[in-house]
Amino acid sequence: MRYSMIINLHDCVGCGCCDIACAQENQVPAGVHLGYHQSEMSGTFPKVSYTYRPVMCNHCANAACVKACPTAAMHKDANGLTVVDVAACTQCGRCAKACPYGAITPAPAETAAGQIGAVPQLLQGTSSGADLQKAAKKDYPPHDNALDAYSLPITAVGGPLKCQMCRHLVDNGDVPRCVEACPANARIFGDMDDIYSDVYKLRQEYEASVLLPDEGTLPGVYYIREFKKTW
Amino acid sequence: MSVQVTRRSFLKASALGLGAAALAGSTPFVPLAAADESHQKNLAGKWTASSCQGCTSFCPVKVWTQDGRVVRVKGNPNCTATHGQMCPKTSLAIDQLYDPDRIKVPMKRTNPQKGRGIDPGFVPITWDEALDTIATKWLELHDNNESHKVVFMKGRASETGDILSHFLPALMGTPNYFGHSTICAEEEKFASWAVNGLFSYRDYDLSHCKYLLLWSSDPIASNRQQPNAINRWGQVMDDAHIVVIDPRFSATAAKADLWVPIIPGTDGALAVAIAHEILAAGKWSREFVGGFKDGPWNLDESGYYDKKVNLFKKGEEVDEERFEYRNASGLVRWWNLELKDKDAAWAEPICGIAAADIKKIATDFAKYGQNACSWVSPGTTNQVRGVYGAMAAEALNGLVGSFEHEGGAQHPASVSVGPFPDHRPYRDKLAKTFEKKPQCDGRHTKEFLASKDGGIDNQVLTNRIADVILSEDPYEIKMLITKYCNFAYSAMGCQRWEQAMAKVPFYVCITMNPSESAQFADIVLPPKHHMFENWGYVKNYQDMVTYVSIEQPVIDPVWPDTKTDETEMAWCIAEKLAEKGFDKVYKYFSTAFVDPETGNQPTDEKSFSEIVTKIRTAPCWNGANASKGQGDDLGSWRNFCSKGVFNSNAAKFKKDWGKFGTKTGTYEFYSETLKAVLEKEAWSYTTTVDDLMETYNYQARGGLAFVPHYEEPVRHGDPEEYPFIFTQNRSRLNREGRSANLPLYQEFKDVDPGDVPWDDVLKINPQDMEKLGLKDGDTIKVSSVQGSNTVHAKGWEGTRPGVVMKTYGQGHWAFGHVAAADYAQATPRGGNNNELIPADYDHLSGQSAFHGGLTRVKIEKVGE
Repeated sequence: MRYSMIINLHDCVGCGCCDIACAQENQVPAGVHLGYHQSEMSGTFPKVSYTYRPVMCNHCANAACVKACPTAAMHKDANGLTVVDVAACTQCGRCAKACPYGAITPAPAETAAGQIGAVPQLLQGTSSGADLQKAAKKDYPPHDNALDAYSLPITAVGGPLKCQMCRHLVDNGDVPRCVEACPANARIFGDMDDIYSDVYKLRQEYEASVLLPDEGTLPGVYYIREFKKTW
Repeated sequence: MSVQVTRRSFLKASALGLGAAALAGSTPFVPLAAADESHQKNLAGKWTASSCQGCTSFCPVKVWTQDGRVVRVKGNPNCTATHGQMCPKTSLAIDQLYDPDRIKVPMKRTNPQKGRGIDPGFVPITWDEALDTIATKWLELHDNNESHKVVFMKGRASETGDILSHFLPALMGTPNYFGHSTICAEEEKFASWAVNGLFSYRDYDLSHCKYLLLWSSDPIASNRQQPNAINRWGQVMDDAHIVVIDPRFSATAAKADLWVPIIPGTDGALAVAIAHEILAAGKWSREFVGGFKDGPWNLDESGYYDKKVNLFKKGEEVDEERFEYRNASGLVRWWNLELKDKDAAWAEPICGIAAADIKKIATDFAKYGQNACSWVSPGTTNQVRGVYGAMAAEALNGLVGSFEHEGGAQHPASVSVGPFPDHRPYRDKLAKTFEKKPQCDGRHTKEFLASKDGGIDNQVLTNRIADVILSEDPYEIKMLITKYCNFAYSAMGCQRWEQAMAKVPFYVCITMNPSESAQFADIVLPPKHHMFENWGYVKNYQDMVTYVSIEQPVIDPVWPDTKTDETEMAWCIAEKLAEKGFDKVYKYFSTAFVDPETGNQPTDEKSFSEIVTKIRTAPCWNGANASKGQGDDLGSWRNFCSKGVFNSNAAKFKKDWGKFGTKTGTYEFYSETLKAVLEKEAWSYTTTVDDLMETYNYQARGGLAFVPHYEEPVRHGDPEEYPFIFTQNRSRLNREGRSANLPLYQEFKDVDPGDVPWDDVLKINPQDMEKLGLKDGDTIKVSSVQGSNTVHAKGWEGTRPGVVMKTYGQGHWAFGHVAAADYAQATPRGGNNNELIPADYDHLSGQSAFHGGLTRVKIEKVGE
């Protein structure tokens, strides 16, 4: 079994739905992105081109982060995902350094949750972050799903924050949040070892590329239908 | 070894007053959930239907809640029009709901001084005190025969909005209740109406389109119908040729076959030249328009006019009698009055687009003919002299016969909703008197036709109200109520609104956040969030299907002291007025509104809110619309709430051919429809249409006033002093100027091509950057005749030299601690475009112009 993702760059319109859904689902600290994008403007007026590529952890088959981890906290699950066992993690930071994609961020000292809780009241009649949590009858951020250590982005300072492919959803037979949120259906998730899966079929149908193939990491995120306006 | 605590206990600590920073400083950790918590049990939740009003697309959505908290949103899969999709604006609504800077209780002002940067000294008050203050002031004016000196203004509203913003003020005896529509896109509707009779946005059949000509439309990024466009875009790119006409390299231009970087405000010249080239090449649609009579009718093998006969030759007038029309009219007059000399070569220096490119567009557009679509948007229409250019762009659909054809622009499918109960029996003498009085906004003057859907003086002049307040002409405005609008930020020349709002003796502001306008309010009332907390409904169309979509309380309100603005607040104000002796409004609300399901009358604001929604949507769920063949048979209110959406049957192609809503019933290239209205207005002022045109600042004289044509753009500012043309666009993350306080808006601001996270950049062509000695990130002062912004410079190849552009959405000096750089000091994050753009109007539609390069600017480096 090899959970993979196909991203169709022809269909992707660069709207940011996946970025936003990911940030909301995982409640990552400000400035940390598990799902993000690379965009580039090229050419000279008026012959210009703009490319937009969603990026994330590539869930590599030959993952540099897994090899770098001294405690096997960063490991490959049986389903092919690259995930972290936070209990075993010593926050040594080697995984983040090893990842050629920059897809792992050492957890900063403040979480988004902490930031929301600490927002001071603007004026009488509005609320502080703490008031808001209380009003939502929760001691964690009101719009936080009930994530836990299994689903990650919860780790000790310096521990790895990375995309876990929303395994709390995937385990239940749902798709990752970025896939559900994509209005262009440009993200397709499934088991690349299953010849009846959409990801397998699309990879057969189109020329698929991966990021930094020379690194030998064998990414599980594939891009099809590269889009670049040519003049 | 790091310390591990659960996130829950960490947050409990911070809620008790231990700030995150203090904690993090002493013990270096971030919270870690307890290992024994099962992730499986935490997944329980449910999806509930509602609607997004982040823009006018009004998309049906589903909201996932867990333990009474909103966690996720997605498009409503039951909606065929949106294909069950959403756009990023919808996602941001969650953060809007849980914005700590949301106003949670009514507030009153304690500092009588009003102005930007002056602390209003807001203090929380009870609803009773707020309502009492409002009712007392209102009745004071009412009893003093000054009820017309109350102005009510609404911004974004659902289809239940008239309760608060129409019936309440009308029964209170003021004619001065106004919408925001002419700072929106009424000119677009006007141009459409003038040629095809539809005073509305058009729908589009993207599925069958083969050539998509987008006039400043950016549908994969901003209103209109983004979920449909985003979902279909890959297929459209495969099946159709996409051309984007826009001064800015937009998100859609980035995914098009051709970007046509037109000089702002010259769209009309380009459209006219395309029309000329299509006619000169003999490529118009014979089936839709008709053809030349070559002696008697001369049919070719397809059954239509002989395509070889073409008398449209450059520079030559054509005899009207030689042409036989089918579903259209006035083509020959259009040619003779405007088109005959205006070919691609004529347009080239005006638009800055090569003649060869214009010819190619014309050739290809005509080649795909009835499957070619000209999609006209506010960038092309919302200009001081924008109507006629927009008519020309719109008329291209008629020229190739694609209007209401497969792949073309469409009249939407119609869906009925239930009427509001008649309020007229509840009018007192004052209400009856004042409803006949002219509104104060200046529409009843010679300066404005202010025409909506064929009427005269029936369109609101939204942006003029500030001037009315300041000048006290025609009379002093003594009380202002605004609902879900923020004209001190969102109206062009918004500085005038600051002054006006400071001047009004009593101002009630209904707003979710402490907006710019709220800073001037005497009473601030907190609404519920439309998508998650209240009853209401919306209606719109995308992809040939019209839908009615529910808004319902998905969760209990986060703040118990918030009320649904449109219905609950109206009820409470009416109740308080009744308590003080004026019971007309309360009687109307409490007796005329009857639950169509149970026969019950409302007993409180909550039941009123639901009953209003039920009355209005009843035909969608009680089988009435289904039996008329309009669409879904939902069976019951309960099922409507569960599914969330009523889908119409798909609009039929050619359904209005031969019976358009124009004066002649035909597609009018010479607008008899517009002519009738203009001549009526000229008659009432005993003058000529030419004189009106001069009054309106249009250049057309004679017959030109009735045909699509090019008008030179109006630009404020001397080119010597202000060398750059300024143009703007909407952010794809803008929930209409209400989302800049959300950290995710700032964090992902660069999904607008060329923009920078947490920043506001003026995009300047690199050649101009070099001339100005600027580099990326330099702080600059951008000034116009209206005002100035301090923002950052960004070199950008997506604009031509001489034209600079900035996305609208930043520049809040209030609204919250994220939107403003410093709320307490009223320091904006970036600059507000509306402080650069002066208030100027299209006098036909009453539209406040904000496109077409209305203002010129100068750029100065700051800090040297």
